[in-house]
Amino acid sequence: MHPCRARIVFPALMWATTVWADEAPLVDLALEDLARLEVATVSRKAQKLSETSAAVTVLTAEDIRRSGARSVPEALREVPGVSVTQIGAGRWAVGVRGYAGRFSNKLLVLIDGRSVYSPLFSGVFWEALDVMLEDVERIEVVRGPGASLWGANAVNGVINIVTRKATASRGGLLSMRLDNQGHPAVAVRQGVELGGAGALRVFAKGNELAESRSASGESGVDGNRGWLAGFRMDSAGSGTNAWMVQGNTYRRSSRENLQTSAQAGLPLLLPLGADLEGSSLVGRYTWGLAGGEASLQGYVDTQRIEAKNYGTGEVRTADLDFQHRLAPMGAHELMWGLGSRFVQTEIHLSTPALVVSPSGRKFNVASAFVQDEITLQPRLWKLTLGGRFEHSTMSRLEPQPNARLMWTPTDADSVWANWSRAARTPSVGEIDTQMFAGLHQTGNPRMPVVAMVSRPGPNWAPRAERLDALELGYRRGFGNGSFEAVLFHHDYTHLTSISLDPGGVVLPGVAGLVPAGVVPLQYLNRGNVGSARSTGLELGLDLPVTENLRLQASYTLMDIRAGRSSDPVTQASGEALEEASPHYWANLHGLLSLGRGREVDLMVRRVGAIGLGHVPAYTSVDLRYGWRVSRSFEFAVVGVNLFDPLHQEYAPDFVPSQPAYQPRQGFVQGMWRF
Amino acid sequence: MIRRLFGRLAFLIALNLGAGPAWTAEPPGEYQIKAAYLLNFARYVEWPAVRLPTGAPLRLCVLGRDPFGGALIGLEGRQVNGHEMRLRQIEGVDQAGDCHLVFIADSEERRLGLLLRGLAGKGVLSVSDTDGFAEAGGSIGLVVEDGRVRFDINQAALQRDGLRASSQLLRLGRNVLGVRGF
Repeated sequence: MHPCRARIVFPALMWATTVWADEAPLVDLALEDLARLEVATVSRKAQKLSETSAAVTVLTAEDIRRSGARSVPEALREVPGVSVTQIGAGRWAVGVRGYAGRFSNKLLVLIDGRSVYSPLFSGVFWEALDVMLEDVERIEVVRGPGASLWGANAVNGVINIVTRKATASRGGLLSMRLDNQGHPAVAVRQGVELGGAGALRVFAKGNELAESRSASGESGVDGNRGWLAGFRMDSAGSGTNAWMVQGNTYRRSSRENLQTSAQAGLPLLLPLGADLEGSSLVGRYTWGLAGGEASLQGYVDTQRIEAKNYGTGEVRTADLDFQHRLAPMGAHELMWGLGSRFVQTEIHLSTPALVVSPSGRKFNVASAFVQDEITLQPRLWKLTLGGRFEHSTMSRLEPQPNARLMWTPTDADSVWANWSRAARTPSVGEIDTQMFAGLHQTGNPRMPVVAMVSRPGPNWAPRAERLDALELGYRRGFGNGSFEAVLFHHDYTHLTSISLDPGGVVLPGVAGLVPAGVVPLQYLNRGNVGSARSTGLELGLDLPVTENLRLQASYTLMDIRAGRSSDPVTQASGEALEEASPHYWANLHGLLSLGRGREVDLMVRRVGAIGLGHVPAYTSVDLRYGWRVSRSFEFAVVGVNLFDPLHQEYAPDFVPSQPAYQPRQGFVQGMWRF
Repeated sequence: MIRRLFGRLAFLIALNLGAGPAWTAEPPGEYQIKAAYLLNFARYVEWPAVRLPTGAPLRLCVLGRDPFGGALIGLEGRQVNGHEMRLRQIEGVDQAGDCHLVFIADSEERRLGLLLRGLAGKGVLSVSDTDGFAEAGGSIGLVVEDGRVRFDINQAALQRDGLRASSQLLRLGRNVLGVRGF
């Protein structure tokens, strides 16, 4: 059916291009009249992407507003190739091109140039990631390896959150929300002019997030509340050199239940509460250098996680990055950069299920990149060659080259082909932890149960996981809309996985894990023993149907196959990986303007079944009604998951949480500008 | 169910497009309005005489991928304060030497800083609709706000290039940067 849909829609795209031909005699209008003219359809800035030889989606502030998103993951739901699954209140699994576990480790997330990728487990604590959405200028999503420009761990993709400059957020703003469960959210921002120097904004927000339900619809499954406060200062735009300083601090409390089946019969629920707090300070200076433009950025960041009764983890990061874009030399446009990052981690655990040794780590990552954009034939062919070299004291030198070829036969069409290699450096968690991985029923009456413990393999010299990616893409802009189709093939090697310890079962094993007493123990050795391949197709469409109605649709189809292994445990891990992501997901967003500032949005989302944990496929429908009453006040009423009383999006993988179900929800939101 | 839904929607879209007239009768598109703005900017900005001698053609250059879809063609040959307007497509700042007004397309967003540095001090009025263009040091940034096209002027950038914006232009700008601090 998918090719069939494409066949019907495609002539529509062709047709749309002809619309531009006729031209109105607008040019004679006076300036005053121009400013009063209402625009029929605002184009979605597909142009800026036309020169990009990568699968990039840009969510603008307007896209985010119209989606009714309350958080970054919710806003990402409409991006093709990105799978967003809600684990529970404030807990998300976000993956690009698969690998969408809670600790999805192949995705780099940046907020204004600061990485929020945690070296503890190579992933993002979405529980703690909070931004003032009202001041986000755009979210850029790069699918596929973006390693040469962005840095390590940009394996499957990069999510780059860019907030507005302080010079573009003048005045005050107050935003308030209340959901049907009675959870409030408040955000305030005030912009201040700093004489001739620039501008400053200060902001603070606090919220309590909607809770999930248990399988039988009961509350008490989870919760998430917290606050964020910060500032951003930017220099006045008239100068040729620019600077920016920003800082923020936050604290969030998240609670969920751990579910153990240790007590035969009824599952036992243990509350798990976690407090996450952190602060960061970022500074950037941009100036002219050798006819080109250079920027130097530095930041410090600290994050602390305290899981009551289980332990604490702390990460401190200092990072310095230099980038230089040279003035074009003939057909070449060169860019290069250097980076250095210092990371210090400290983990203290008080649970026998998880042991970390050593408890503290300090490591450095040094990196260099260079990229050359070569115009082979002006306006037709462009070749980009790039490479990043990265050395971490926890791993080894990782060259990450890429080559991109782009053909732009017309102003509207772009076709590109990429080959790139990316690396994901192993995390502190992978290298240093020994973890209880569950009980295995053997079926052998003399040894009915064996405790499994995963640990770094005794002879393991950790190295980065590697991805070789091929991508073929086509993009077409037509008038106010665009269409995009991307085919990808990812080949992963040296994946961190586990294998059976050759020493076999150890006796007497471990005590105290189960009431039954001593259980024999089997070690599972962590090492770079896994491999996998994934293939997929991503389609995106933005179509202005009439002057009041616009449709945005995306569809992703993908398949992951793990490499076969003679080791039963590696093999089983591979099979779990194959079933960890849905094989397809789709989105349709209808944007309707009713005039005089009133608008209706209908969002339909279909996500395929996830084999791991048997999460069934589901369809969810959200509806939003917004009204811009005046320039200073607007409000929206949003219904989430309207036609479905309860659905599960995710089955717990790493942390054995109580499964959380998403109920029907609704909220009202008001925003005042002053 | 979703298959059917998508199938039906695609069908509806196809029908709607087939009907056609809804499209041709639509009010002006964003870039038609923006093209009209460019002509007005040329009218209300004064270039130094050395840069634009009396009777000389006024060159409007588009840098990057032309997003106007033909809407600029209507500007070619128009008279603006005694100058004939000429259109040109350029590939880089090195070709911008004889341009008076340069429109920087969205496709060039990534190298915006570099382009603005290259244009600075050359007596060029730079106009663009990339986000935050005037704040980034460009002369005039076009913005869409509340379904209308407005513009921000960076007065400091204009003064640096010896350009004079008329009081009418300054009055109608959404934001005027470079005076009183900005």
